[in-house]
Amino acid sequence: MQITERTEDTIPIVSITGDIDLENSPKLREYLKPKASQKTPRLLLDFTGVSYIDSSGLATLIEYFQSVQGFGGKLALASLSPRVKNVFEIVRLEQIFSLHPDIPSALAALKS
Amino acid sequence: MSEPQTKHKSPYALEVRGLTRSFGSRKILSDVSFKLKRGEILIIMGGSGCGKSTLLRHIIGSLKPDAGEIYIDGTEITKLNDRELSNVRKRFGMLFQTGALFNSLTVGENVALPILESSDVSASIADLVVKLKLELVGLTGFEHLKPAQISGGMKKRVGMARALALDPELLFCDEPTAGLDPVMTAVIDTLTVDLTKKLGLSAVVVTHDMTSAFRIATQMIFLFEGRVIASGTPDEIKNNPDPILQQFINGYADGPIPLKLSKDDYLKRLMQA
Repeated sequence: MQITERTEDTIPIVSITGDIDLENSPKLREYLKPKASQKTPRLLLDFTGVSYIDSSGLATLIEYFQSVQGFGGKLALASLSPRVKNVFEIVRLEQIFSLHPDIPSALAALKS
Repeated sequence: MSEPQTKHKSPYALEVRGLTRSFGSRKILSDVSFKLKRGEILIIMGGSGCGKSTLLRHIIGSLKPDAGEIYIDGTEITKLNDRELSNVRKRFGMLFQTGALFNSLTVGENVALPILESSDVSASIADLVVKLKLELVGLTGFEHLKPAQISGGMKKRVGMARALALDPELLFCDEPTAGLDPVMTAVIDTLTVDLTKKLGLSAVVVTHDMTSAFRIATQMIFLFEGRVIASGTPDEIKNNPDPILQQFINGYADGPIPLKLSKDDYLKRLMQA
């Protein structure tokens, strides 16, 4: 799994490539932890390169989501493959996470 | 469910070829063969003692056959050593007949066990995964109870949550709905179908519950005296005129399926000194 970051309109866009599974999710967790502690107000996770996410990956995102609630931090996910989206839907997480078909719509949601 | 399609070695999640096994002079499994495509649910039916659970124990690698081969995603498992088998086992989940929970651990700890044993994820991540899995089986909020404090049906559902803890590609269930009320049976059935349709999981389900079997099966095999005497889609099984099969799926008391012991045997044995 690879993680790269760029900024667009002051919003960090974190692109993940590879599988977010038991082996890799701790790496994503370590990446997200400082984002939460620095109280990053808005964060976009680009899932274009994610072919698979398991429950530990979902848990990692839930933990981030929980940790930013205190300061009103926003999180949006963009470009999930149907297969990855299904993993969210089977545990009804699409009702909690802001999922978007592409980066522009996720950026728009974060700015709103 | 845990691997992208490109990583698969075979179009079949599971293939059993010519599996044969005897215990002493008694042949329990005789030339059993079948295939399970990825994303499908195979139901194994058959009366008590027909070899269903023995077949399942071979497929999960806890018994070795006298003859025959078992391929899990193209890997033949009957000749693997313990370490190799343990790697294959990470890809499947198993729900045992009784739930097989550790009584000294809480429900949550039971579900977390496979996660913490096989990875470096933190306890807080494992806790969240436990919550996701317990919700799937309708047991949100039960994580702090001990197995002794919940019903048999709930234990079964905790067993299901634990079987799903590592997001298996292949799920084996031994009597998943025995002891569950009709509503919980439907919940577990719907979950199994959802997992196969949405996540590409494949499942092998051993069951006596014909309502549940016909509700979820994409393929069925019927074992009788250790042999596969019928196989096909649910419709093909329903329309198969074999009298043994029809007696079983319709639950008739009279028919060609013999009682374990005839009355004569019983009386003879009873009166022997």
